[in-house]
Amino acid sequence: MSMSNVTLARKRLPGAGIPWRWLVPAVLLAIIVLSALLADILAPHDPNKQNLANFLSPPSAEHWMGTDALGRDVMSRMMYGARISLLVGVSSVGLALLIGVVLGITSAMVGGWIGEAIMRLTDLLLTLPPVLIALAVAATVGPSLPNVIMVIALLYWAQFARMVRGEALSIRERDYVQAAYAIGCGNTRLLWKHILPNLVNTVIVLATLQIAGAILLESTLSFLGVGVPPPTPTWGTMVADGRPYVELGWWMVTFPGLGIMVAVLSINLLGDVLRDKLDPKFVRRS
Amino acid sequence: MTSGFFIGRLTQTLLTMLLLSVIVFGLARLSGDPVMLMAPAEATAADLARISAKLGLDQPLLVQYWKFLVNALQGDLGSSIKWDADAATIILERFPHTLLLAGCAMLFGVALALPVGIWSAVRRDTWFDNVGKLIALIGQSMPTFWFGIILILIFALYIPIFPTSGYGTVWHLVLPSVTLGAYVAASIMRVTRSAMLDALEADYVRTARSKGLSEWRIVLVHAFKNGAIPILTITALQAATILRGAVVTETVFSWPGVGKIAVDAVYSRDFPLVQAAVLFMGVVFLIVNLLVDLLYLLLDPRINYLKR
Repeated sequence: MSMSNVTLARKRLPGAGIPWRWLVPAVLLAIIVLSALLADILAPHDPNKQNLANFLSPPSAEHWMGTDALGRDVMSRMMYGARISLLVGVSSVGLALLIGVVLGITSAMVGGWIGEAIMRLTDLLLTLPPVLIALAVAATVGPSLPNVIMVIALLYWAQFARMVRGEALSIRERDYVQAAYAIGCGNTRLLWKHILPNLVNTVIVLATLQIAGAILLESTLSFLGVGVPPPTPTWGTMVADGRPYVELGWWMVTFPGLGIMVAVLSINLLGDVLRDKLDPKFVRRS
Repeated sequence: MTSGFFIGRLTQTLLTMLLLSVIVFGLARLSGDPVMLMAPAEATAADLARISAKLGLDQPLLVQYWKFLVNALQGDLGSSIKWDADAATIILERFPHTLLLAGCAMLFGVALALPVGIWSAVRRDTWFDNVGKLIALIGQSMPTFWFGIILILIFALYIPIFPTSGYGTVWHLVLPSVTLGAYVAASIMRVTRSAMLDALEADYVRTARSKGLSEWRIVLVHAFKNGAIPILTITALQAATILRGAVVTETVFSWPGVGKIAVDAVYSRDFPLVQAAVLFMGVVFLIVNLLVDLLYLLLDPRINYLKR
């Protein structure tokens, strides 16, 4: 009863027909993506140009988000920083997806001790603190953009492998696959025609959510100083740079952090929408 | 049947630990010459040779790994270059600090998440529920390090109630616990809400209502008892998440725990200590996960692991 009241009340509100649930995060994400892509044109200042006369000047008409301790324009650095976040997020998850799908399928189709070994490796990767592992790797191979992408990919493939293996095992048991096998369909054909196409939706949903995680992890690594090294502007490094001056200039820390939050939040929200649309097995509550 | 599951799960954990040791051992070899990695930058050629002989690096890899493993099992995780002391001792000294922070954070997280989650379920689809959902989402998307700094900015610098960082008094514990606790509160809240929604729709709740029991009694006794298993499960799972987040939180607040020592060791290129910290934390995580799985079994005898 109360449910229908709520629905009725909602219908009367102006703008009730607008799909806010995906429109708001999509617009926010579009702003971030566009400002990253068009940073060369849109950025009001050179992100690396130092001007000590502008030491920590607060947000103004000239510098919308203020300047940092080296007099660099925070907003321009934010725009270039978005590039790194998106680049690392998409490429590391792409790489993780590739490794994960291949190893997950291998684990399900080949089985035996190889399958078991792959699953133990995923156990390990899913239990260990990613930041700690990434720290250890960065300490060994040194921080750089490609290394950050590699580390995140090497940590993130496990979830794909787990999921793909589980799905593949259950799809394999289904009647139509068994029937295809019975009429002489070989393993390769079975894989390409029956198993992989059924995995696409789940993989897309997981990849979306993983990109949000990867952006968060990259910013954490950069904050700790083992991510993308300076002078490349990244949101994580910007927060770290602003930390000693936080009392003098809140803007140096606040804006990059908000950038990370909005990017991660909107990708997560879009991931949820995608999951509802693509993955009917997953029933969302209310 | 239960013991079969237990033995299987234990074997699996031990195997994973073995794998961890291989990875940690291999990491030092990734960069080429581990001596260069372990020696301070100003070391001379004679120093390098001495370190190499001391570490037994002239021996075959398998022999080296075997020694590393036997030593680790005996509690010898090598020695820190910077502190010139046994790495295991350093880590064990710091570990109680990490546990203290993790415990307080968990307490805060649960204390925040349970009431909000329960109330959101009871007042489903009201403004309270929607605001709660939004805050949980924001909480999960927020970088921990940034939230910590913002808390320092507001509650230590602008309004000086708490110390900015460090260790010592109860006051030092508040901001790091809130930072770390907020992170897990979001997940616990979401699960509490949906578990309570399930429980509130059940037949026994209708029966309880028809008996004329008070709404409080229905929610807190009848529904909560039945929703408790998923809530306890997610809380137990968050134990691992909290230890994971501790690395960053400890760094932001200069909290002298294992995470801080690991990050510092990376900065000072104290590789044996990094190695020891990763190995130690990894083993702790695997044990926590094992315990969580066993806890499930105790909590809900309906769960049958053998079927998985």
